[in-house]
Amino acid sequence: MSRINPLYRLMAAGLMALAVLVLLLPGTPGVVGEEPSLHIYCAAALRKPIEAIAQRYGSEHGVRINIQYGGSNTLLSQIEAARVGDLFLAADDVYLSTASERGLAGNATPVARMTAVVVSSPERAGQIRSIADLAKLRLSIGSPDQAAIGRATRAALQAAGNWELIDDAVRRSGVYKPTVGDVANDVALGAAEAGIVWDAVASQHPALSVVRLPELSSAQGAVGVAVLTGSHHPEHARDFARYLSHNEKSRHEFAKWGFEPAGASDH
Amino acid sequence: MTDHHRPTKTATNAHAPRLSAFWIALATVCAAYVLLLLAMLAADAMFALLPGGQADAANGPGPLSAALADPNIRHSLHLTLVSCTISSLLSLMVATPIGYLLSRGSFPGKRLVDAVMDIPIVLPPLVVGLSLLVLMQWFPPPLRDAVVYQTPAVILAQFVVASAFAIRVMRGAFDQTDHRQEEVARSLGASRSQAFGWVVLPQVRGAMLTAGLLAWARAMGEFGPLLVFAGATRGKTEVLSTTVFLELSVGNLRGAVAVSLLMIAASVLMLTLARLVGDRAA
Repeated sequence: MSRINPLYRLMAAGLMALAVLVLLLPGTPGVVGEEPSLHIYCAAALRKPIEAIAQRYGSEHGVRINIQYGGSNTLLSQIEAARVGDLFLAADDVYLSTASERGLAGNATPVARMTAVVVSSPERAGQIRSIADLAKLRLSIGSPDQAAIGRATRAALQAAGNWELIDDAVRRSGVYKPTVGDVANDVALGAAEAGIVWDAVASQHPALSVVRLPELSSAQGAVGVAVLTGSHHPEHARDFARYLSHNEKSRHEFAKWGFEPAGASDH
Repeated sequence: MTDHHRPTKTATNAHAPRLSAFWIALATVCAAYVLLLLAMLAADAMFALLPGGQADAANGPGPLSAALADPNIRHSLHLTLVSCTISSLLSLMVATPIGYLLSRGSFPGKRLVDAVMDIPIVLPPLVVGLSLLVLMQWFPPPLRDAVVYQTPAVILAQFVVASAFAIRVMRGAFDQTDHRQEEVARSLGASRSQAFGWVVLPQVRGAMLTAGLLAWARAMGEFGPLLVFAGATRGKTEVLSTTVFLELSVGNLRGAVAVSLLMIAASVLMLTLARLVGDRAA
């Protein structure tokens, strides 16, 4: 029987196991500087087109792109707290303006546009012809204080004079959700009878029916990108921002996922 | 004694039906709760695995196999398994000495230290992540850049919360061990570390496994701190809990639920193992 204290044997075994496990970690990052890499903060709703565009850009330009997803509002807080990263791609230009005002990012470049629409189950879609019809249903709406879709919805409906109707309906039987994705999921799961989401988000839920109401046509979200002031690779970051907004294939990718590429009706 | 004797006598005759009603009530509450939990799992399984339903058709008939075929999700599974094992090992390495210190040690401010150990348990998860992120601002930039939004951030975020749970388990285990055996070993000339290694450690082996497995399961369920401190970067810092978030964010409900099922299966396996190991040790 070994006379070595079991405590020391256990500690040695633990340290060896740790060393082996560290080697087993996937994709251990390489030495910084061997190939340029960009860290992008990206609104989660933009994941589908951005994944495809980033992959193409990476292979064409030999740049490694790491994309961090989250709600635009959460990402803004992370950028402020972490002070690392190269680009901020937000689903609403309000967050980009805020980032710029706080000295975290440069000027924003418009990338794409989204419009608010109503989503519901196909059976219920026929019943929704007006905001008044919508107010009779159990609604899931983006929070006007947290979600870009909520802010745009409130502004458009206040202008049309029927925000009170929707607000009352939500407070009576509906719910305010922090992100547009939560709203779409509520309707897809049947937790809400209808919701207001961006058309690009609605296109990710083919099982849902889309109703466009004239009162919501002015509720628009401007997807934009800005280079962060703390970027380690500002040249590459600016190049990728241009690639997102001006490259024909990128524009096509956005259109494929239901976004209206910027510039199509800007000029 | 006589007072005690009288009711027991009547209990044998009159209490039998009342006792069974009591147990039936307990069993009903237990069954209802178990049913609720199982119904949640069954609903998840049906939603993810049965064709049709409201989820998007893009996933085809097998969302679980579709999820496992995705290289990003495979990476996420790989990182989850390895990072949770690392953070649970680290948790044990910290929980064992701290648990022993809190159980046996007597020092000023012990109550405060004891309370501080519970901070990761009581803090809202997002606050843990945000606090780690803010803390890293005080570190030199090369170290900060090597941790924040990188794999070490995943492990650190998991470790902070999982170790708090492991410390609770280990402290309880040390409280229950027999002090006298340790004192006998000391009186026979053993040093503190010898007494700990030869006498105390064998008594808490089961508890260490339980603590490790609980820490593992807790690390796997971690989400809020990871999202803030490690980010949800595909193919890099994405673990299964962030995969669920990423799939939900693009409306892939079936994919999200399929990955949730994977997590549930792993957690149940780990918790059952913890229970078995705990029973055997007891």
